[in-house]
Amino acid sequence: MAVLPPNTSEADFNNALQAFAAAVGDEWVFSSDEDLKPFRDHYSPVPLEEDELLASAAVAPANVEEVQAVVKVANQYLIPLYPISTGKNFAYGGPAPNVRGSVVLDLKRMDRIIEVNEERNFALVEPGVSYMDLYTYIQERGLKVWLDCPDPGWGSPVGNTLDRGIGYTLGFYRDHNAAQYGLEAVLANGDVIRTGMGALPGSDTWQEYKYGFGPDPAGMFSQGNYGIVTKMGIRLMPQPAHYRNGLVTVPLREDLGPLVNSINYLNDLNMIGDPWYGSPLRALLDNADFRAAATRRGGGIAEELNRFAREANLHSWQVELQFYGSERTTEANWEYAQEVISDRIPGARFTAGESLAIPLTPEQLHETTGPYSSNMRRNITQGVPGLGIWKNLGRTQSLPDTWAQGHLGLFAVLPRSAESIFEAQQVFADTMADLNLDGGINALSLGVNWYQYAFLFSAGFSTGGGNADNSPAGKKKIADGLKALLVVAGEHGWGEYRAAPYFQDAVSEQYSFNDYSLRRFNETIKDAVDPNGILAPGRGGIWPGKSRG
Amino acid sequence: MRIGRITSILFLSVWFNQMAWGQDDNRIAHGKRVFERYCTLCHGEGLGADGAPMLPGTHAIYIKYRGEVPPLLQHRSDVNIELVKTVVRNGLASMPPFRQTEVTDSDLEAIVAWFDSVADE
Ligand SMILES: Cc1cc2nc3c(=O)[nH]c(=O)nc-3n(C[C@H](O)[C@H](O)[C@H](O)COP(=O)(O)OP(=O)(O)OC[C@H]3O[C@@H](n4cnc5c(N)ncnc54)[C@H](O)[C@@H]3O)c2cc1C
Ligand code: HEC
Repeated sequence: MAVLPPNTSEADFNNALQAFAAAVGDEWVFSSDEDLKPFRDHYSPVPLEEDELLASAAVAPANVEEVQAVVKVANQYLIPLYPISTGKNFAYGGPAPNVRGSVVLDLKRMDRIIEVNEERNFALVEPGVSYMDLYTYIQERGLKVWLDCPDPGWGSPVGNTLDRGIGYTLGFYRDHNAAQYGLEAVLANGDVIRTGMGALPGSDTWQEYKYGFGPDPAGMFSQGNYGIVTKMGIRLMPQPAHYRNGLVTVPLREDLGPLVNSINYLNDLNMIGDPWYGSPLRALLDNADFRAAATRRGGGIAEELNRFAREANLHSWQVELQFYGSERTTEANWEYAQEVISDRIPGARFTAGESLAIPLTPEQLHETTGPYSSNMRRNITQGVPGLGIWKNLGRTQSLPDTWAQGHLGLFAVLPRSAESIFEAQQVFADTMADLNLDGGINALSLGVNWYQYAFLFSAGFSTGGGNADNSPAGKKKIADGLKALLVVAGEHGWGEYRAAPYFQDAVSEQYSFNDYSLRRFNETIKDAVDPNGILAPGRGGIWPGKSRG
Repeated sequence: MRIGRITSILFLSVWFNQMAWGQDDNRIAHGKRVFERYCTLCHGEGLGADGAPMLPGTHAIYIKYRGEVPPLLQHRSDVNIELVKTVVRNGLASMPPFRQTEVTDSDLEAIVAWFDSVADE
């Protein structure tokens, strides 16, 4: 299974490996089949081993100087490097590279927590620091600051941010790229830069004013390939005193419009945390008549769906709201939310959830009974990292010999409006039906509001053992279907927010304004800062000149 | 002289033994620490998240073996270094693999030493 870097002879590759070993030490260069197994993508959509995005080797430096030495070797032998931080990017490529035969630059050993500041609410960390590590550090010292974690707690603030990951607390913190405040990177020529105030020797505001003076290139390292990030500042949320949640339901299908507008209003006044939309009508999906109405070609018909709702005495939509603050401010915000919504929607109903002093006790974190049956998830709304989400994968009691190994999917960026949701329901459901794929999209599907200012609308599939989709042909069908789907989405003005390497060119293809002027700009920069094209070629759809032909 | 030599051999062997014990203790403690950092989020004790009866790794093992082996790895007598290495480096079903930069082979041996020390209790 051994692979070589592109256009590299075995002799050159062996010399490069020796030079890497001289840079980082023998034991931190991995090139045997055995050593490289865990660098494979456990969720790989690539159906056949001949195409799989395998690394030819991995190199793990311990500090910035060693990173610089590795970059020098890569330039000498023209070998592509693929930097990872904690390398847990499952569903978006895992630790595997964009280009088969790349050398993975594994930064896990660089795992210093340089600073956590609880008065000024920030942290400065190296790439190998996981959310779990940082949380443990904060807990051990009793610091009163919160992380905003993605579901899997074994990833890192640096790696997750560089793929524009998201979390689940207040809007600003949920957008991890926004909460990035100053970074250090090693460029392809070996130079080390610090962005923002980090460029001013002696400044103590690197994590407080991210811009410095002039253009701020920090954002270009996310979903890009312009450098290897070796330090990153992130903003931390001060630990609030109190948490409260509440459920809102509205009766009619057409009430989704004013509901979304009300939530946008509260959201953008920073009065609520992550709002979770849903539909109580999901309870009816086992009923064949209702199912037919909810999966009708051309989209759901309001009159028909409202009738089902009325007969079942159910409301059409719900949103669960969360509030962070003091006991009194959270109560006032919940009251105000009710006022805003009932002003716009006759018949809206409100159920108070729980009202809990922070930090929650372990029992409260596990509690799932409440005033209403909740889809709100405790750990992540409290900034507590974990891997509990793996409960959605693996074996189940009813099917003990079958398991979901992973998933394949995409999230399209949609306007925060009911019209766009209704349109996406119809377009995605009908396209999937045409493709003969069951993506579970119907007239009740909604967007998630992880990013405060947009909806993300998902099309996803689980892949697993004992399930036909685990076969190469099954995975290929899904992967090809998703590629076809994202083209249709593009025609409606919806692009993906993030994608695994396998899909990145197809996603980038949709962003075509003015004959791809943005991509051409990115390519111009790529050629200038990485003339040999050694850093993550292809990432974000940006290829170096020599690969563009 | 003879007595002296025996004494010193005895002394030395006790000393070596103690050193080895000390190293074992360290190794076991190290194994437990690594396990807690990388494995307990899935293989720990107690409730899972959001209504799950167990953590995901513990639960998967419980389901897989129909409750016939203890669901906590450290309580099982059949988990040896070969199994741990194979699973950790290749991944298994919903458990993705771990790289040497996360847990080294000697970390894995220390984890198994900790398993053995718990199973002995
Ligand atoms: C069940 C499940 C749930 C998930 N839930 C979420 C979620 O809630 N939120 C979310 O955001 N994601 C989620 N994910 C996706 C993913 O697992 C996380 O985003 C994870 O944090 C990414 O892995 P990581 O942090 O180890 O980043 P890494 O794998 O280290 O990095 C991601 C990518 O960024 C680039 N990169 C990393 N480090 C550097 C560097 N130092 N310099 C330059 N480029 C670099 C590389 O291209 C790398 O592949 C989920 C995945 C699964 C399977
Ligand atoms: C993301 C959650 C997760 C993490 C983290 C995790 N595991 Fe697992 N592990 C699982 C699951 C799930 C299974 C069951 C696989 C199956 O269904 O066959 C498993 C199975 C195993 C098994 C095989 C048990 C058997 O008899 O089938 C071993 C050994 C193991 N894990 C060791 C480890 C070690 C050591 C670590 C830490 C380095 C670790 N795991 C981390 C989820 C995890």
